[in-house]
Amino acid sequence: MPRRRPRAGPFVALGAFVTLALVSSAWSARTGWTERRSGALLLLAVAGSALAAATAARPEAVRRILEALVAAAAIVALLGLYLLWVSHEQAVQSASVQYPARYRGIGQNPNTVPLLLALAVPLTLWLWTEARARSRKALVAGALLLFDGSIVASGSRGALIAALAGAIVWVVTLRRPWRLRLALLAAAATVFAADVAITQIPKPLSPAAVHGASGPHRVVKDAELVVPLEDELGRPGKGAPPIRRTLFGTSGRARAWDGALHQIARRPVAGFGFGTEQFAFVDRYYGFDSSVPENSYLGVALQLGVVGLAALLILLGALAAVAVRALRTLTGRALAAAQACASVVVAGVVLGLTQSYLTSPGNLASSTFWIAALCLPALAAENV
Amino acid sequence: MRRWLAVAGAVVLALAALVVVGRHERSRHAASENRKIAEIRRLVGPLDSPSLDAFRLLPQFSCLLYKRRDNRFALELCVDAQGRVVEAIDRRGRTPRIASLREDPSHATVRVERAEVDRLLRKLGALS
Repeated sequence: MPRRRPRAGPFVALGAFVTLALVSSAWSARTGWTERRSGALLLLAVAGSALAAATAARPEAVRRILEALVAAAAIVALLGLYLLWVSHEQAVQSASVQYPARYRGIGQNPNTVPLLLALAVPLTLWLWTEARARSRKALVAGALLLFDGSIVASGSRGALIAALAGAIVWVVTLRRPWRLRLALLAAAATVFAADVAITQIPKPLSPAAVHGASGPHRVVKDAELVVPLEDELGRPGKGAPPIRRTLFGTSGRARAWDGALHQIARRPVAGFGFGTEQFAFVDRYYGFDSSVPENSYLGVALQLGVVGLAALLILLGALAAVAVRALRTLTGRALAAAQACASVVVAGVVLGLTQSYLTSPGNLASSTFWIAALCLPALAAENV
Repeated sequence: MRRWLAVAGAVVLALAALVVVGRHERSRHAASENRKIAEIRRLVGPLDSPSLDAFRLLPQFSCLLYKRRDNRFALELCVDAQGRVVEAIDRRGRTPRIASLREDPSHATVRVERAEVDRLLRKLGALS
């Protein structure tokens, strides 16, 4: 039997990106952080590559990996429900004038766990079609409902859109009659619309409910109580209504992204060093609440400059090329697994537009993305 | 074999060039921010100026804010535990002018007496 090895292109590109991350400690603003973070990225890359090498042209082995990713996501989602039962305050972020109450489960914030669940949605759709027994189909359907419900309760629009993008790619790449695919697309769109409608039900607090009775005017010496540094830019004038989160609003991201672009321009070629995103970016933007710009591509440009961003885009492009090849040439279960992995990649790329996570090795979703993505060259393995 | 050696050599050269560029960018950025910080420091004058009006305490630094005309927070100097001015803000215009080396405080060159900053913070009631 001929030996098979994964397609090399993505691994060369991955190696280049990881090398860049490691070498960036030479010019990093925080050398220690860069060394630790790039070391963690190296471990993730090695683990993902090792899995790909071990599963080259073995769709059943890839299937087990993808099942494990779904199981892990389910455990995280279930732990969130358990925390909700044990401690409502821990599991739910209280409403504010800007945001309604948002479910966060075991996540650090309401967007943390939905990152993972958005990537798990297309994998769960694939698992459902692969399941033969009714009980297994019911179990997988339950997981899908759990993931969707958790994302909706969190109010994470980026995760909803990413899950939809992944589902669309999965449906479009199915080898089924076009009428069935059209019907499935309509169903996905309907679920998405319903999800969005549900996220609009909880409301933020009204400003009147928040402002207590005003006492005698006191001069406050602590400037942080009057004009916090993290809310300085874009602050509404006196008497203007507070910013409230809307369906098509950016939650302050547009201003933050503009600020990030200006910061990138200060060290444009090589950046501030890998792993320094939360130091290089400073949240000064009214209505924005994060220590990172919440855009993986801007985040990489901050850390590694345009060179690093180009390296990441080349890596994603190499994965896309392998995905297209796999979808065109594979058949049977290998094709089904490739469709699932390609859907995860698309969902992950879309998610990167609204969340900083793609190159954060400690992030829940980052390892899921890269493990699924590196399964593609394994499925499309070539003869040695 | 030769081809692979040539490729490896080119990669090493490219990385070395990138290190040079990265370090140059780091120095240039630090120099620019230090210049802006020094300018705002000069505008403040003596730390114990009568215009000292407010403070800010954050985990990474403490700030002194100075009044100009009706603006209580017109000028701000933020000092870390080592006495380095890592951030300075000029709010006299419509848009705040911010100079910052928060991400790389080791390259901040403008310094003040930290003990004096602490004394002024106590005077403002910031430190009990």
